[in-house]
Amino acid sequence: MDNFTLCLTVVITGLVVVFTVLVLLICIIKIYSAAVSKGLKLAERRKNPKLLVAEKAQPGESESEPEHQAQSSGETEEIVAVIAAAVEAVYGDGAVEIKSIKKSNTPSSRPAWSMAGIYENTRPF
Amino acid sequence: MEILNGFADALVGLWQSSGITSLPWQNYVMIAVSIVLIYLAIKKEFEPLLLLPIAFGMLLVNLYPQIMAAPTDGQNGGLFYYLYQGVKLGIYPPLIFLGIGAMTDFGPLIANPKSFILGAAAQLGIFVTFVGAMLLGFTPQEAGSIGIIGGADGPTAIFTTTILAPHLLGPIAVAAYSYMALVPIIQPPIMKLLTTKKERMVVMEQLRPVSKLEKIMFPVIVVILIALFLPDAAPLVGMLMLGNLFKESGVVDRICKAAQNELMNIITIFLGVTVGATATGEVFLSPDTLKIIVLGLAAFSFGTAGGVLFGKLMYKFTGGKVNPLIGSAGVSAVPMAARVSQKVGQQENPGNFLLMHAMGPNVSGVIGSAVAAGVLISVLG
Repeated sequence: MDNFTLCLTVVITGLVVVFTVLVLLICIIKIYSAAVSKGLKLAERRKNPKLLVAEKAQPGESESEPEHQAQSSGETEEIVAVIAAAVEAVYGDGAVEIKSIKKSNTPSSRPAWSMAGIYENTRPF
Repeated sequence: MEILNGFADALVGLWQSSGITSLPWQNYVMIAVSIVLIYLAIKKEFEPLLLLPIAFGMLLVNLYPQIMAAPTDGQNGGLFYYLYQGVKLGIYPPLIFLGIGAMTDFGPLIANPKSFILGAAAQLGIFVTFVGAMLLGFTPQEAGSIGIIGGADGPTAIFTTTILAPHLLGPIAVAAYSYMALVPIIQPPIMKLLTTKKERMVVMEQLRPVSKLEKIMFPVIVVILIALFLPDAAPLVGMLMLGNLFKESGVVDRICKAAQNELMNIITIFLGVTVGATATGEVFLSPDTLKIIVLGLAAFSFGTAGGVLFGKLMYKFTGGKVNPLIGSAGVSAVPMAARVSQKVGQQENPGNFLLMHAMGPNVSGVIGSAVAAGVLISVLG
């Protein structure tokens, strides 16, 4: 092979191979990153069942809107009032605004009241 | 009288066997060169971890050439002959990569895999320099060894040169490590020449957090892919990924620390002194060395330019989301090249923090240069 042909061969082969291998790596990393983050999210959801979503809000904001949202999901006003009272008892007066109340779909081997009792008894630890 | 004669004969014999009468003039020039390199390593801190042992190895071999002598019948070889076997057999550079892998965080690269492209683009310097070296009359194997200087990766350069052109190991190693130390001087003018102020001011989005599982899977996936497609790159990339797996697994803390510290330091000493000991007068003081020094500079420059130009392409295709300056970090002088991107970016916009974005191309350049070395060894070896 003469020098000119060899030069071209090496340059083209080198650049093509380097780019191909690294582009392949990009694709594989994107695929496995997506798979890993999906898997981690699923595992997170299984570990932490969603009972309600509560966020800290500015003091003085009204709580009337969340009640309308809760009613649209099928909960009665009495149940919303009981949950609101329980949240206020835990977090304090006016410190939290309830934005939505959803029924938990995660099956649990222990009823929620049993879990609450366990947390209460083990809190010092 | 006899005692006096014996004393005189002994003195004459000692004088005649001493280096002062037996060393050629080239060795004295190399002794001076080694003293200059020692000065640069200590006073100017030019990559001292490697340049100091290289310079001292150069000094020793030019004072006492027998230190590198091969064994003959009835006589052992010199000290450095045996230590040099680690270089000759391609053992030391992969072990250095083991330590580098144990110290490297591939998180920024995993968070933004597009950085791989910039690491690939920066290897342009290797192939352009290969062509230049061929035009200057070097053999293809020598040209490949000179070209790999553009990868800005010492162990890769030594690994490749040992296989393709071992007689050029001394000048190539000295050139590679000297230019790596000069990255903060070589790169900024090229970066500013090839980019506009608007491009340099681009602030990039914060990188996403990377999970531990992703960081553990990364070295396994990379080594499987590269070793399957390019077996010649397997020793370097394999050891790099092994070291990284030690770090990310979190369950082998002792050996991870040993790889980062004790092993790395011991191999650095052996590699440095024995590579330096190949720099004898007859090899170093030749027109070829001057050509290698010029070509080395070209390799770094084209590598920087390649990365920046591809960064500009990415800037255009992403609608201005990628700062082209991070492309220059694709030369695998970790982490110096990434720091240079940060510094040049901050000159335009003091609030711009490009360091972690530049680390992605920087560490991908290590993989890219190892892949390029594998190609050169496969085609030219």
